[in-house]
Amino acid sequence: MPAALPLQEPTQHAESVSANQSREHTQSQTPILTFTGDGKEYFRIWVINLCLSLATLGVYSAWAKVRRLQYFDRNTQLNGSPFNFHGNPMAIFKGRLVALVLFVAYHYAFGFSKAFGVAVISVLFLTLPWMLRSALQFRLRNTSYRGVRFYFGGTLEGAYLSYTPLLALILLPATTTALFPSNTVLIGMEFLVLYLSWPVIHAAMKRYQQAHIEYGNQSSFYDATIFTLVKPYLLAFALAIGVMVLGGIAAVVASLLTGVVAAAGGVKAAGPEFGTGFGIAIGLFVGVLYAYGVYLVAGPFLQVRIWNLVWSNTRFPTISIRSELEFWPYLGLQTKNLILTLLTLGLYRPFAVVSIYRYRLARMTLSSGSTNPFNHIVQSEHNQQISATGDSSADFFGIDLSF
Amino acid sequence: MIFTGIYFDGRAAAAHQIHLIVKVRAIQLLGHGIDLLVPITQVRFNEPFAHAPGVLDLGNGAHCEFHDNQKILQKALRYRPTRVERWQTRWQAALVAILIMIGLLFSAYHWGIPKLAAIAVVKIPASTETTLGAEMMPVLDKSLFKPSALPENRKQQVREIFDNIKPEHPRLPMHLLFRSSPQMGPNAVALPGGSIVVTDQMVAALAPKDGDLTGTPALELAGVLAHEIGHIELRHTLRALLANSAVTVLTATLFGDFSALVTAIPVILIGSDYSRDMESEADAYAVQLLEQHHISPGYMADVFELLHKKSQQNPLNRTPRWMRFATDFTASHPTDETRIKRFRDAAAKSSVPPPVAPSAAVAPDASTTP
Repeated sequence: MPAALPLQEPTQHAESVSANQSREHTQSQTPILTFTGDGKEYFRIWVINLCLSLATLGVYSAWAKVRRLQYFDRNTQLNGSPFNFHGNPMAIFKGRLVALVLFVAYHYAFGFSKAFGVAVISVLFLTLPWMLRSALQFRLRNTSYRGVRFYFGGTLEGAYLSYTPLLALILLPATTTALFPSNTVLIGMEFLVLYLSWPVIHAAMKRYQQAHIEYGNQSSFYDATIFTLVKPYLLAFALAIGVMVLGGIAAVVASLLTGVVAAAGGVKAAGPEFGTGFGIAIGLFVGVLYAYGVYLVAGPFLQVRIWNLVWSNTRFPTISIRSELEFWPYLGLQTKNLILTLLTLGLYRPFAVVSIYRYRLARMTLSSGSTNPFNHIVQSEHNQQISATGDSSADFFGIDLSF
Repeated sequence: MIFTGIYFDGRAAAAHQIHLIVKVRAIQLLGHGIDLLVPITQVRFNEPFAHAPGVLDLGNGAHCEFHDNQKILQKALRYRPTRVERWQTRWQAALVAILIMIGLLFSAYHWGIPKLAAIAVVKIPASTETTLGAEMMPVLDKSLFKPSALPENRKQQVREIFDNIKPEHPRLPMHLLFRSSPQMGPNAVALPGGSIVVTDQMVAALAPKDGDLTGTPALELAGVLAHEIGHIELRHTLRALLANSAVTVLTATLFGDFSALVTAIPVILIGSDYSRDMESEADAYAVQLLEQHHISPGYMADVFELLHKKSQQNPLNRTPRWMRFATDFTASHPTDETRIKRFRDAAAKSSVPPPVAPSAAVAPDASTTP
């Protein structure tokens, strides 16, 4: 944590009102983001959330989600004021039921008949963009800062334009396989086209999400095009190839060594079959290892690049945002998290989540030309009602597709 | 006591420094041009976190934030933590939660999921099962099976053995299919919907040189078929399907946001464990069915010994012992040794005399059994 953040230390706040006021006026040039949560505290929230969710066969997970978001939002401070989350767990629960029905219908879509399968896929294509937009609306509408709510102002047309390619990517290959199992050329072409266009599809989704965040009467701008993510994806691909080549060399060396060992001592003891079996086992092991290596290195690389690009290109009229995650520290953190999570059979998970969240926030800087960028922001009209009553009819079900 | 905080009116983001005074039935907020009296019943203190500022909702979307003296303020406002909040403040209680979870997961895996799958599977109509089986067959024909090359009289013999061993009132009509499968080798497969596939390789493995399926080979084949009939009567394919989807959903909720690999491992381990349980169930069913027909379970043991020897001739299957331990956990079937021993034990307990010696047994008939 940077040294210039005495604000959040409780002892530093034992000041007079006038001292607080002077802070308001001097600090506004660079609004400071801090995170005050810690792994130990979150662990207890997490473990009880998980325990109650399991014991209630998942029903409690909606309440758990609200508690988790409240923990993270209320421990995230911007200029000494926390964010807050106001989502109604019951709305989330209803949303999850709807999502569950869709998921089950999709899972067994082609199990009953082709006609039923096509019907389910069509329903998903028609409803999911709307639902994904509702999910963004729910999340943002129920997030507040300084008593002013966020909102998602993306249009419904925008949702269909941005999410239909994603749905095509997820749903079409399986649908085609179910309908025309013998037409491998068609299936192959579909995979190729859809997967090659993934960077553009992903960028279009991000653009839709980032360009319509509203905070009070202020709306965000997003300066990146839908081709912004092509470069990081190409680099990640090159990186993956690099890791694979290294892995390939390692595999060759490993099998050569195994051959030598088998020739030296193993042959007499166990016969040539032992050598073959052993070689295959080593080959498999190395194969799995470097597939995971690719996943471990290229994955974080992409996350870092995309996160930075997406947030650095997002701005509000009075505030600009800059995210500067660095690849090596991030990779180190993720590797440590993975190893500790595996070693503790998952119990390190909440600590991992907190450490990544903290790192992301620490590498994010906000800047503003105005001395007090928040003072002129007022609650937007559509949120006035929600904020005052604490709920809204739009929250009848809080669509939640995160799982 | 006077508390220092920041007030937000819920309409604008502007911050107002205030002093808060807790009175008997209300709280008073005092600041620059602010003098508010809010009934104490209307205010709500948000769940306190160790290092986060305290948040006091005032109703109407307005709230106050406090960085200092939070504990005293909570007391002054008579804040009452919920049961969950009290639970999570203590370390020991959190550890209890871990123990409860382990208990829940273990019971779900050991009793809950198999039991639920067994209950749910009965509700699935036979027509769905038949459709599923009918859809699987073309896929298998494409990937694993080739048309059978068995002569018609041999097929007829197998059909007769099948008709003799199959239960009088099966759950749904069963039928026998013949396929050749060099990939699977000597094997038999039960599909949902009542189809049983026997490979040519299985018939060849059991039959003597001249290929005639009478006497011992017939009894051994009856054992193999009884095992597959067990799978069908006990609805194993659908039960496995249901149990595996339940495990997938459960692990995906637990670790899904973490890594696909971490999610896949328990699904494979638990899935193969359920599969081994079902194989054992089908074996037990076969023992019963064989005894009803006065055939010793020992014939099944002979079959497995034979198949085990055959598979050992393939060098790839001669895994070193240290690696076997690892593969046993992911195996879909119990080890041959376990199954042979189980059938031998059943044969010893059975009232039906065991096969005299492999390939030298006489066909039992009604007169040889009391």
